[in-house]
Amino acid sequence: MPDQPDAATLEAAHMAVLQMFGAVCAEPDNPAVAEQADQSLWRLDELLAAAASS
Amino acid sequence: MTGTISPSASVLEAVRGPGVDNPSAFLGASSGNSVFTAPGRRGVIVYRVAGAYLVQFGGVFAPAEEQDGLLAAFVEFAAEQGRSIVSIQLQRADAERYARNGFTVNQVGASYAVDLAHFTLAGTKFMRLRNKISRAHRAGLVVREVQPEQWYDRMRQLDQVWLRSKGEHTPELQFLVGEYGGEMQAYRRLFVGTIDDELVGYISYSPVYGSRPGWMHDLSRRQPSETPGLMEAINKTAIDTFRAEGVPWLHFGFTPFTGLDDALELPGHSVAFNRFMHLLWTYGEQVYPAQSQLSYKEKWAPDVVLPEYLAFQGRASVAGFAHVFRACGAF
Repeated sequence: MPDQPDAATLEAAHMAVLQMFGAVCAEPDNPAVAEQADQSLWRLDELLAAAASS
Repeated sequence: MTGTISPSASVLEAVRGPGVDNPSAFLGASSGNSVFTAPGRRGVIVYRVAGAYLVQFGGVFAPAEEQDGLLAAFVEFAAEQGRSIVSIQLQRADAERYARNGFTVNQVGASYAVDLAHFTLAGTKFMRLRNKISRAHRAGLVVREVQPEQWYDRMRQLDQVWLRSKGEHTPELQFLVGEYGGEMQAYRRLFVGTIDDELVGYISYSPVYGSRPGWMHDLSRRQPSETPGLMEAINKTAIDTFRAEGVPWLHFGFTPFTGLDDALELPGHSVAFNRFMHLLWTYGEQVYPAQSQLSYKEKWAPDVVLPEYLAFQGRASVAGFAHVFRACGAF
């Protein structure tokens, strides 16, 4: 689990999910984009868990 | 002698049966949907293929004791194709079932319903709505319930005008949206609004079965115009008709990203996906006009707000969620 994330890190992670959603919509059959999109969500899950555990 | 039943008819039979309590379930009988059944099992699962996903609509449309088995068969079916399942518009009971079966389940929005037995537009709360409706009628609006066959051509023309008003490249959504015509039209009701005999708006109502039976304010279109209150006046006429018939409920259907409540999430949900849904509520008007759609529904002061859920086979997935929009023809 990552260390306690700061606000900027969390905000960037939130925005990454939004951006990757757009990327999947633009390239729905690109498995690399799909994987990157899901990783962005799971990364945010990790960061939120770390933030909550402090 | 054997008889065959069309896919739409098989869905209709299932959603009118026991174990199904989804206000939008009738939309599963629309054309263009795929229907999964398993030998020896009752019930159906409605879905569309979208890339690497089977996008399921609603829960398992079957008696309660059959649902786990049919879901398991559907999971096998998806695996045989190398596809993943993402299920949209699950009701709470469905969501709990999917979570028990190992899916990651998150709230994705809500649907809204008005108790017609107690409905009134009296009071200051509804003054603006009454005024809008009055203005529409003063502009010459006439609203009536009609049989659709004589109106299809005019409705299609209005659809094109409406779609163009949304932007040159705006696609017409399907799947989670109602339709008119076809095999299921006999089960729907249509109210039209005209000014000087020109069609200026219509609302199609789909039947709702289950614990809150009634009608759902489904597909609706209007001429972009200066005249306010066209839809409101059409819906008010429909409400008056339904109340006179003793219809218990008017549903306004599902709007994504609305009614989000952390307390309504299930154990095992993705906190990140929860945050993503909140972001789309705040910033996602280009993705789906949730705020403006909710604004219309809230004018009618719904008595019931039902959370609706999305289930992922495995972890929550941005790609899976995007493919719900793909299944709807959004891209």
